Amino acid sequence: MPQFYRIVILFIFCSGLLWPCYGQQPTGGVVSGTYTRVPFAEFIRQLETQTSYHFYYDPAETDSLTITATLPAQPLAQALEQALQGTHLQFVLDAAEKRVFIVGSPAVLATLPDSFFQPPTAEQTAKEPTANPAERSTGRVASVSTSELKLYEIGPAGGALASGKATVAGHVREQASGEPVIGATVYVEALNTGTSTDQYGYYSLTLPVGRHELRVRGIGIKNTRRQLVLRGNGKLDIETEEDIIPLKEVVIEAEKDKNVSGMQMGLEKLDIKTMRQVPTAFGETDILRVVLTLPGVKSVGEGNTGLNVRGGTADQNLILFNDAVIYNPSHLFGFFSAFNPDILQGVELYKSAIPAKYGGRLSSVLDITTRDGNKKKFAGSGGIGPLTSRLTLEGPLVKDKSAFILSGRSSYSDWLLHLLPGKTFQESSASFYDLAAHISHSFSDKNTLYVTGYRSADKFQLASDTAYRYHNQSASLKWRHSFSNKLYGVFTGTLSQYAYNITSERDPATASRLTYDIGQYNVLADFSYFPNAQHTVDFGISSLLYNIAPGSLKPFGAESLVKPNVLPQEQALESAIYASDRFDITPRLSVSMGLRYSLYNALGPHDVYHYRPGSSKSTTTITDTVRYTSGQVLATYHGPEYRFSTRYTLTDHSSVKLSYNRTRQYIHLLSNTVSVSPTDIWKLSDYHIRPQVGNQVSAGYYHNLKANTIETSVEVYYKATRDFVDYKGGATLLLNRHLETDVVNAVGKAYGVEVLVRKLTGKLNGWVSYTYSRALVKVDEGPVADRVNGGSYYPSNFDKPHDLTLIGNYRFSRRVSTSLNLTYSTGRPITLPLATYYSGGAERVYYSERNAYRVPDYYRADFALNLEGNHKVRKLAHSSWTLGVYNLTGRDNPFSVYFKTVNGQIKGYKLAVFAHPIPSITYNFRF
Amino acid sequence: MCVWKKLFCWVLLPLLASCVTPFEPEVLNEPVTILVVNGYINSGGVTTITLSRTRNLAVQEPYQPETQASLAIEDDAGTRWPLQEGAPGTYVSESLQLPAGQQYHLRIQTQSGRRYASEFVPLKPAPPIDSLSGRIEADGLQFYLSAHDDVGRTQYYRWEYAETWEFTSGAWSRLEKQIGDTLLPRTDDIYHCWRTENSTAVYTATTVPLSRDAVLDYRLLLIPPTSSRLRFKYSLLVRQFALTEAEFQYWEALKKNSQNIGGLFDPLPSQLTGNVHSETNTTEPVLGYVGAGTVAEKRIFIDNNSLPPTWSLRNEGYEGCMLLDTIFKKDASFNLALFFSDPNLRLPVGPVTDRAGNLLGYTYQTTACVDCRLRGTNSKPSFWP
Repeated sequence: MPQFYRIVILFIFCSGLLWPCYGQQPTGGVVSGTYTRVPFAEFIRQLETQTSYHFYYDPAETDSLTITATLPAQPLAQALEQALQGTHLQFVLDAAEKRVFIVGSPAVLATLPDSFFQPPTAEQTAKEPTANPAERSTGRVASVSTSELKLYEIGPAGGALASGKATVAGHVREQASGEPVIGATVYVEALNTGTSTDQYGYYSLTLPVGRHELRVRGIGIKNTRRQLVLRGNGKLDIETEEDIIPLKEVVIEAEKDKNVSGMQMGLEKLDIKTMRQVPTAFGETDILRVVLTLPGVKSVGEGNTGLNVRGGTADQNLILFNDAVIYNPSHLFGFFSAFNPDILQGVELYKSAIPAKYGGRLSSVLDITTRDGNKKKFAGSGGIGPLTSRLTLEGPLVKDKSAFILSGRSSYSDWLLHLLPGKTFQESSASFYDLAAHISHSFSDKNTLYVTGYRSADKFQLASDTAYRYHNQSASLKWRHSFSNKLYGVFTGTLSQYAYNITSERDPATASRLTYDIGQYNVLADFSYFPNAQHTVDFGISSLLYNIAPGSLKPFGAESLVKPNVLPQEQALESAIYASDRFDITPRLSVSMGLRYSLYNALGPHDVYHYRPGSSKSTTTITDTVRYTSGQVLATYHGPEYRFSTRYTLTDHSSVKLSYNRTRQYIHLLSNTVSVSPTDIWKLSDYHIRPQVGNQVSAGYYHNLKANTIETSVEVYYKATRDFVDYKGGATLLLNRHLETDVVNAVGKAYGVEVLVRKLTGKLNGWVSYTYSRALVKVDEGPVADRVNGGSYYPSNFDKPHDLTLIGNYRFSRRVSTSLNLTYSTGRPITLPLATYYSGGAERVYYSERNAYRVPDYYRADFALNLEGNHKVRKLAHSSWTLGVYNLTGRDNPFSVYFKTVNGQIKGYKLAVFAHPIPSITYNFRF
Repeated sequence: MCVWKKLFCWVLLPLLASCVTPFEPEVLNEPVTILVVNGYINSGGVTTITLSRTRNLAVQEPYQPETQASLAIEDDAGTRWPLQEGAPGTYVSESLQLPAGQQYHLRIQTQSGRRYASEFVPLKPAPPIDSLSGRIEADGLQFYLSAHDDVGRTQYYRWEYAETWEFTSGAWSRLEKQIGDTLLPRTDDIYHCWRTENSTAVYTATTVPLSRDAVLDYRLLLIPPTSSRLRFKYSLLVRQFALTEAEFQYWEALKKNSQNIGGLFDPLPSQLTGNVHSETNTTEPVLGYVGAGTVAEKRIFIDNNSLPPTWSLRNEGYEGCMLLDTIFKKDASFNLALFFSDPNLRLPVGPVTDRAGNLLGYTYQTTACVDCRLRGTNSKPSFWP
């Protein structure tokens, strides 16, 4: 690797500014102690803790030496003289530089020891002379080549705890951009102790005082190490050099053996680089589409981003964009996800063992995070594809302290529509855009502020008739404060809004506009506390206010006869407290126990209908109407949510994990269509509609092969949910003032086994996953007529028992790589017509029980070829081309199967969305 | 929502190289024969109820009528008005004037002794149709309908219609084969006919969200500008029904079930039955909704000369009948008795003569091209002007 771009590594000493010191104060060179057959290295270590002196010696010369001495409190020189009596060692004391050289005879060496230029191992403590003191005082080291060998003092001498341990903490950042390095492993090999950096690149490690070699490892960064002497609690920020090969795509990945050693089960992490390799329909990198290839994640059909995680419905996923909830993460009916890939850092999907920090949804948490932006220099990137173009700009606001990143994406599909023959297309339009901006600013080592804004919007107009618009917007403000090395807190405020409107103008007499709006305001305080190396404690509190305008229909235009119909606002408050502790009982056994307690209040003003007890709720059985005034609580629900997981390491390369979690959900997406549509409505739990509750147990076996390069896992799960919302036949969901009359509570159960084999490094990488799973629903409440399929379990719309996915990437050279994606799954369930009859002048259909049959199986193969420009580090812009073919074999997978009365005859039709191979080409650039 | 599927099909799918192909699910072997009840209780005239059975999807034979059942209209006081079977499976009452203010239902006992009854329903008289008009628009002739109820009691409307149009066959046959091999001038007209078709879609509307119980310019059917229905004279008869809320919901569900089903943005189909129940076995499904009330009718005529001359009206069904074949006397095979022996195969059209007027032979065409009675009736309807 050429030396000129070896990256400078920055060290910052933080000499325990706010740290109370324990034990004795530094004695200015006065030492004491009683030593009986103490190994020489240990003796020196103990001396180092008592003084501010550094000791230099040759371990080879002293490894068999022990020290036996009783040293009264006396200056260092006298103490050393006494201790070294009877050995062949001599010492030289440099009071100005606080250095002590201990050598064998003769006192002055003619040559340097052999190990001088060798990278020292943890056992070795040979040390070169410290670099010049001016550098040390600024805490910066100019040259990367010596920094790995340089010795850093952490904390004030004697600043250790009574236990003889101290905590070193700090950030790992990328040298070029100043962005945090997430998921890098920081460890001391000799002690078998380590940790990994969190989402802020922060780490905290409690170690015995003394000499250590701290190693830092992560993908996308060069492995590095730091020599340090730990005297007390202190800070050590580490800047790492970018591994230049993946061209700026920051790889965020956990420890290599995370699969086996990590606590988390049912957690899938994807970084943007992995996502870019997966071929998609229009060459658009699409995070939700990639998430859909993971085991346990399904959707009802192609071109749909409603995620069904382990048998959960599409509304049971908490989708967070930098902590703010996104209600509709898709554009254009779900063909695209509403996030520009260039701003993203990665995505984490929790399928089971959901951390106690998260709540409010039953099935999963999809945590999407953005990059922080380049803190060093201005940069940009973008892409041009057949349907959209995108641009991202980033750069420092204050160098090394704050950065911004801005991204935008917009479609230009109208012109394509207008090229098509026919008046309908020429009068139609469909367009969307999304914008995201993120600013991070470090006020100090202890205080960092993050601000994110996001907006996505869609618009369709159909033949100048009905216009649909919807938008998401969200903002989050986050302040991260380190109280101490062991405690930090994150204070977050977010607001999210989703709204749509449908304007119909075709007939002046019925021209109208229908609107819907949901807003939520959320404040959270989350704390992480590291009392010692065995415990990691997270706790926090949150409160969330919902505000929903559940629908209004208003006349549009002066001639309209439409009577305004505005449903009253709904509001509710959802609060929660949580605490969890990850306890490493032994190096092999770890347990994470969490409890979240959530409390939900549906608030007035609202009119609540009461129904005759024992009979089906309908407008004819209303007995009373109770009016609640503003702020009055009309319904309260609360309950504990248990989060438990444990890991037992069988061998270095295998482990078993178990988890149990309970989740509660107070908001429901009402949709009586098979797939999620943008005009579905979110409904809050109220006096009649109870919150959904889910319980999941899962167990898994994890095994890594070939030096952790191949990860394998098997997970089984069983999930039971109750009180999720299903509908009576022909339910009216829009503009319904008494929704409880049209919905029924359903019970669900889901179970399955997920097998995953993954290889993430090497020329050939990718994963194969197989899932067998079932997702069943039962509606057996209320009168017989309301029960679906007579009140027995039936398959849900997304019950696809067999699912096999292969994502394979092969890199021919640094500039040419290919990807192949194969997917197979059982066809989704469908309700089939059983018989026909004649009624109302036409042939009609009598249907089977709900979801009693299936559409044909689904199979698809995609291929992509990535061509990179040359890899010169310094050039104006780096560019790449992506050529892809979606559905290589042209299989006409049924997107949907439907039956229609055509000219009085029932005909069955199969609709395939991508029935032919779809080529695409995308140009990407960055500068 | 059905609009989403429409959007989907119109806007996106052409871009995505999509394709819609016919789909036939595996045939279900078990026969499903459920009783189907059609009709309504007419409080101001003749009530006609038809009984039939469902049949499996792939079966092509006609629906089996349910014959020899005994049917009666009954009010909530127990008064009965029996129905008599006319055509197989069709049961008619006498012309009745049922007293208002009562609730009525239909009772059925099949030949096998199973008893069924519809639920009691109130009489809903239909208000008159205010206007029915056809307007010329860019994509064809669009029919609009308006109705209102000043008292505001109707609120739920349903319409059926019957179209009747005049048409001609592909060739005007002036000759008719008589006994032997003589062709004589034809006495009946099998060139001009009338055809009637009933509506197949469900047309419903509600005025509940409107400030007035009025339907203004409801879009009924659209006839494309190429349709052969408009070649001469066209007539549309609309029947208007007033529904109860439950009946309206039944028809809405029926509409959903048969018009937009199974797509990803469509509602799930439901096992729709209606308001008829078996009294013998409560779990046995019965199909159909029997409402009660009066019906309002209105008929209009559209004449071809009121339409834009640019509309190119095709003679649908007779596209291949433009050219006539000829059989010549001089041909060795000339044998009229044999040639026109099967009237279902071919019919003579006219004589072929030379300039001097000598008969050379006859033109002919297939019966399907010549005889319009295969597609309609050649007796002029009574209402035709």
